[in-house]
Amino acid sequence: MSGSPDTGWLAGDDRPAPATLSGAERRLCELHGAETAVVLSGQGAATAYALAALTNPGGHVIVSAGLGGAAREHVEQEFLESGRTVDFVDCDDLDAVAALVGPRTQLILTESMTDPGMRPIPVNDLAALAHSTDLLLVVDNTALSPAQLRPLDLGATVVVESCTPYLDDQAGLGLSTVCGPSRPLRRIGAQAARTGGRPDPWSDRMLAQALRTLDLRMAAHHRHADEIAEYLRKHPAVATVHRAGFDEAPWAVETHTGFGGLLSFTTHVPVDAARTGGAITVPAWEQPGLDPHLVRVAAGHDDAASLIGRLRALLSEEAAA
Amino acid sequence: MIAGVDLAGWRELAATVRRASWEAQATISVSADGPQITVRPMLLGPSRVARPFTVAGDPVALLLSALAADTAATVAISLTRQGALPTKINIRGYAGPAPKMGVHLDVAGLVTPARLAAAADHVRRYSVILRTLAESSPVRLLLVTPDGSQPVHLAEPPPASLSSGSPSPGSSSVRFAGSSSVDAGGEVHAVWRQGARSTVTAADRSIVIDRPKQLFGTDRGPSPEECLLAALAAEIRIHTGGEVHVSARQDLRGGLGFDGAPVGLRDILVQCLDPQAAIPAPGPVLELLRQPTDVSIEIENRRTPDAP
Repeated sequence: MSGSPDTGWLAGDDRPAPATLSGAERRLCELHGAETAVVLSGQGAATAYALAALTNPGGHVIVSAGLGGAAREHVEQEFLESGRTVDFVDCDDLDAVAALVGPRTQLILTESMTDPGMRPIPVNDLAALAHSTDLLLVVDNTALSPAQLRPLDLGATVVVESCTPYLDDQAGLGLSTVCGPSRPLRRIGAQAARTGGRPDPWSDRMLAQALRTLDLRMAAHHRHADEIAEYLRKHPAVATVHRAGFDEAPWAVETHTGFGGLLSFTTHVPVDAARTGGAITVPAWEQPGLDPHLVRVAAGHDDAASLIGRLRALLSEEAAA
Repeated sequence: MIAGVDLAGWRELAATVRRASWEAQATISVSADGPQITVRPMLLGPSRVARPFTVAGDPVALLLSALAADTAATVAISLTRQGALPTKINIRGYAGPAPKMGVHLDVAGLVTPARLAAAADHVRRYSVILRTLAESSPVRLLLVTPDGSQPVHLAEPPPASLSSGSPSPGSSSVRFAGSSSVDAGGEVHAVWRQGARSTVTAADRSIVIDRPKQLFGTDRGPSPEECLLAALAAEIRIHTGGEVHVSARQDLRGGLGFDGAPVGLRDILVQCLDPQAAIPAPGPVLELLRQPTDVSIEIENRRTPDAP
């Protein structure tokens, strides 16, 4: 903006803006290979801000049917009320996604692994579809974390993640993060700044510290979840086990280094998992084609044996009943 | 952000398109199947911008609305970039018998005559609508009849070849009637609100013209470029009836001031589906687009006189 007023125009001004990333944001950029990152306070804030900033009123958005929790409720309430139209579809089925793309479609929002179905979504194929139809692809990578999947490398526009289970090591900071190119993230950061959605410096520091051990913890999560799945598959009371693996999804060898610490299973006789609490839960949301007696297990990174012990107790109770 | 102008955003866009020129390629289109003209989703680089706007009105008034709003938006960017603070801009866009056409802007705020002169220079160089009018923008017409006959292309001849006459033999293209003197009359008044947003009042109605937030506007109305295409669509539809689609391409690098990139709209294409009239007679908007039109720009500051 220096110099005489009548020389040059916007093209002469484009020197790079100074980087103003916090410690956690810098680390997330490295983990995702992203140009920039924004950490937001609130678990659903990343999805909410990304959707609002990347679409216009009058636009249409394709959302994965497996999207759950606060993000799902946000999409069905505030987001729909803000003039956008939404279609829910199984993002594993590329033909079904392609059939929904219309002239007003702006964005596809999908999680990288369905929960509690625990099927990995082929992000690379979805990105190819999004690119060929001029759509943005937003991937919710909470279930896998950048240690096991880097969606930006596969062609996703923006990655959103809730920090709580994996990124911040169960610290319960209640943060979420958006990673991607700086131009769309500028609008997301500006929105958050206006509405006070940035975290306090201490939380940011806690997150940055937890991110140092992310790859080690995620490898342990993956290993323990595989052990628990192995145990459950051999158990006579268990009907089906949902656990993503390279055997079921061989294409993922090229893109994934693991499948996180989540699995779910159904039993022949319904079990009362609600009493167990902790890492063993019954999903509160409903999805078509899902067994209502499904039990969801989140393996920890410390030890699989104690969780297997609790599952053994749960299943023997059910066998005795 | 000063006066609603996101200078940092424009600079970031300039830095992005310097690296990746495809990010600067925009395709805008409107369609009319009645008096209401619908703004179609804009293709902006590798993404889409979809907004739910319709416009209607007199074609020349729509053209002047686009010109007035785009001029005000460019002045706002220019003044903000120079460190001045515009607080209010009243705009009068007018068109009379050829070649009388112009915009008069009355800027209030912390501005100096030197900065206003620089702003006028920036408008002449970087306002997309003004440059589209100032340059000869060829318009192609495509008539598609429902009986399955060949679509008719109406190629716009360059002004020099009008007198030479004889179309090349074997060519299926039909030509417009020779260009006549443009008799476009009209006047619009606009009030600049902030950034790219202006409220334009023509004779009987007022519309909000804005930019999408991807281009640092606030998504309250169609962009000036879309309003210009809507003017063309409204005019063609009056002559042909049926359904009219108008599209054009824009290289954002031109408006950002990159050397060698065209500022104005290019590849303006009008598609008439099921036309009732065979060949539309050129109306004033079409004539103003295909002929170089000189638009006079006057910028002054009547409200807050300078300190001596």
